[in-house]
Amino acid sequence: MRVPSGDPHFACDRRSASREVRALISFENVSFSYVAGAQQQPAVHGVSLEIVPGERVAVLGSNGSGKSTLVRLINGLLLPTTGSVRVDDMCTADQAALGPIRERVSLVFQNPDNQIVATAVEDDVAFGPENLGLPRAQIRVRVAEALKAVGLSGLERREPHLLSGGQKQRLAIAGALAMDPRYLVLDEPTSMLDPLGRLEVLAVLAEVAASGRAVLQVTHDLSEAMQAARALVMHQGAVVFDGAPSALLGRVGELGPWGLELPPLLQFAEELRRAGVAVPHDAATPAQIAGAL
Amino acid sequence: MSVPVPFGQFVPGDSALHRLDARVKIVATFALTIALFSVGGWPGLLVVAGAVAAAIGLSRVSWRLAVRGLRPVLWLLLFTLVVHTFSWRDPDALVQWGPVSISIPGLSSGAFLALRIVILMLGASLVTLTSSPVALTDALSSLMRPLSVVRFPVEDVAMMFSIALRFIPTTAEEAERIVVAQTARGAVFDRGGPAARARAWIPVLIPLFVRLFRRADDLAVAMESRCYTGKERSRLRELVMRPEDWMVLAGTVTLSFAVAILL
Amino acid sequence: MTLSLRDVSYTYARGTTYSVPALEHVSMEVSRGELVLVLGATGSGKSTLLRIAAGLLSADEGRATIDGSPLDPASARGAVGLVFQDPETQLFADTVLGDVAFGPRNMGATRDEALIAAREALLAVELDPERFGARSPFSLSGGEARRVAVAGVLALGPAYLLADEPTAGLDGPGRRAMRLLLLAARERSGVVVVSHSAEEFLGDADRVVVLGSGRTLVTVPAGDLIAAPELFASAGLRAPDVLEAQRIAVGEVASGYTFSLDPHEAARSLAFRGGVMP
Repeated sequence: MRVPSGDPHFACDRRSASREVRALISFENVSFSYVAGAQQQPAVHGVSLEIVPGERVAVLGSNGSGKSTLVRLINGLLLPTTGSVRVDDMCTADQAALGPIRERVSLVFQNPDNQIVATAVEDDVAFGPENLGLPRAQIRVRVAEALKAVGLSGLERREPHLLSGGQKQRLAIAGALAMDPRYLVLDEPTSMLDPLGRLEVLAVLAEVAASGRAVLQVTHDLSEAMQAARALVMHQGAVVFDGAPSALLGRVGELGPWGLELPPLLQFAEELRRAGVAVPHDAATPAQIAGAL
Repeated sequence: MSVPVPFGQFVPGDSALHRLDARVKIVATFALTIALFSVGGWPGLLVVAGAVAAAIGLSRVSWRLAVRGLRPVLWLLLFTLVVHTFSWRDPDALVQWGPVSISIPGLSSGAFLALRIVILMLGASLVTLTSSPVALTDALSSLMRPLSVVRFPVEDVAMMFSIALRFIPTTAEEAERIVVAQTARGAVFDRGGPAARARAWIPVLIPLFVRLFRRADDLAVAMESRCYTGKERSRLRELVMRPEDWMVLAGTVTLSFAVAILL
Repeated sequence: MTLSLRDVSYTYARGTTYSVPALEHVSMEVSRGELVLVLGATGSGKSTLLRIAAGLLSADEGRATIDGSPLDPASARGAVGLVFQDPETQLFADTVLGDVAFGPRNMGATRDEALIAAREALLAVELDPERFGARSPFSLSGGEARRVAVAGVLALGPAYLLADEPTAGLDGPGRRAMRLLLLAARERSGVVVVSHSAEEFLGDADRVVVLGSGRTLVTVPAGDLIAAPELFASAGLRAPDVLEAQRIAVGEVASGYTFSLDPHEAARSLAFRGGVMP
């Protein structure tokens, strides 16, 4: 189905009334172009997909593949040029729905330094709930729970610039969790962290996913994607793969053209396979891979 | 790499002064400043000096740190002292070199004015040394609240102030890194006349500003995603004046007016 | 022809109550044609080490020399290139070519000489000077901006090149391009890569300096580090996963293949070949 007009409202009105409200994020034939001078540069085109609560999804792709644009389309930071994005049947093009949408979809960005607004840890976590106008007692509970979930309890009064990279990013995640979102969306949350910080963040994300929230994580690291149940690969603005990450490893030949690289560990597994060892495609840890021998 | 505490940065502690409501600290400093500039002579000045010294003692902030706050005004102090101490062809001179002379009244007025600046700076830096940035922003927005009657955007200004405080250390670190990087590319910052020196900073300032603007962009997007509209916000922190806060406030304000009027 | 730090120590704000010892008796050496990997966790003193090696900080103790003479701002100027983490943050000029020519101009090159050096440096990072030279450095993609920043350092023709986390934040193709670029730079310069991850450069390094909270834990050929992975842990680092897999696999026999692990062979093959032997 193609939406003939660039007017997002038109796309919003076409359906909805007849349907019952369902909890999911849905992209319907979404395209988005950045306007650079007179010309339009398509960043995302023809994307249709659904993400249901509780799902853990990794979005893979090289720089410029459109994955960051995809993230910004989810909560209405960007509005589709054609097609529509809905969160629990609320359309992002509907100005009045943006507040409720952003309450349900929390975003975490790549650079932790550029998303921490307050001068103390607990105040930053409280920023979102304060914006919702929640009563003080409830903010306190949410801040305490969010800090506990990311393992930063005890650092409430710390100044953010004194935190390590991993701690800063966990603080950003705590700020997102304090909104009590149904969907947590992260744009390359680990790419600026050292290996230890990366592990901290991945461990927190695993727990968040286990708690029943949907986690959608953009990454260009295949080994991180292996932790997800579902992988999407973006290439030149389109979704070129949607399936289990292990199935991706069965298509090693296509990874290069998509701008993806096998990390050394998975490359080693691939070498073993080539040598005739039956290493399962979902083996992602050293023990699992070596265990196949 | 952690960098040593620069001037005025918050030094966490649990002294009576740290626990004092930051609004009281700001108002008290303001009152003492008025007193400082209304006193007619040494007795009044010494009373205010005694009050500030007592506050520094109470804060348990080391004197060394407190005195560091004077560094930026060192030249101003020297200048004040020199200008007032030396006079021209004074008949009652204590010491005389040719036409230049030092007299007792000159010496006294130089010392008086210099000490006034010292007390003012010590008092002001004591506020920032003993109040966390959060407490300061909350205090300022609370003190500014009456201005919202004349449609002054108190919340927005408080938010701007908080963000500025939040990004000062980050930006300082970034500036240092860019200076080092450009130095490694052969840039020289301390040679030539004023114009050449100013030009030498372009390769530092441009990247710094580009980064600041990008940061501001990112931050705006992040704040929007976290439902910031600037309206109908609630607050995590509640500012409550305890009896001791009221007592300190009443005490310093009374003292200031007494000093200003009587001494 | 060596850049050498022997037993250097450095303390920030020495003699005050907030003094922070950053380095204690650290040694590192790199000769032209070598690639040395300095491994250290965040806070291990890597950035201080880099500043000293670049002649921008002078050590409190120990000896720092460049080609036999004392290392100071004057002797290091132009001879030691420094590529910071996220070096693209230092781009400032109107054009890519102008930015890359900044270093040579500072060193007193004429306009023409500087432009020639800038063009060569752009070619060295595989950016076409005709295509990119006149563009604004702020209009580039992340990977391109990173390479322009490296070109800005290479244009000085440094005898030694120091790079801090050169691949951080880049995607797969960007990382590979940066790695190849630094390997090419080794042909002309001594290269020091400072990183918290061994995965990328361990296979290329002639030597590895393991830095643990301000002290040199060990300086070894890459292979020795692979043979003693506990060194990673002692520096607060993680051994690369692939190494772990290969170690578990040692001695396993499957489908007619024997798996063996010669540390020195593995060092070289770490990133690009498995260690499977028929």
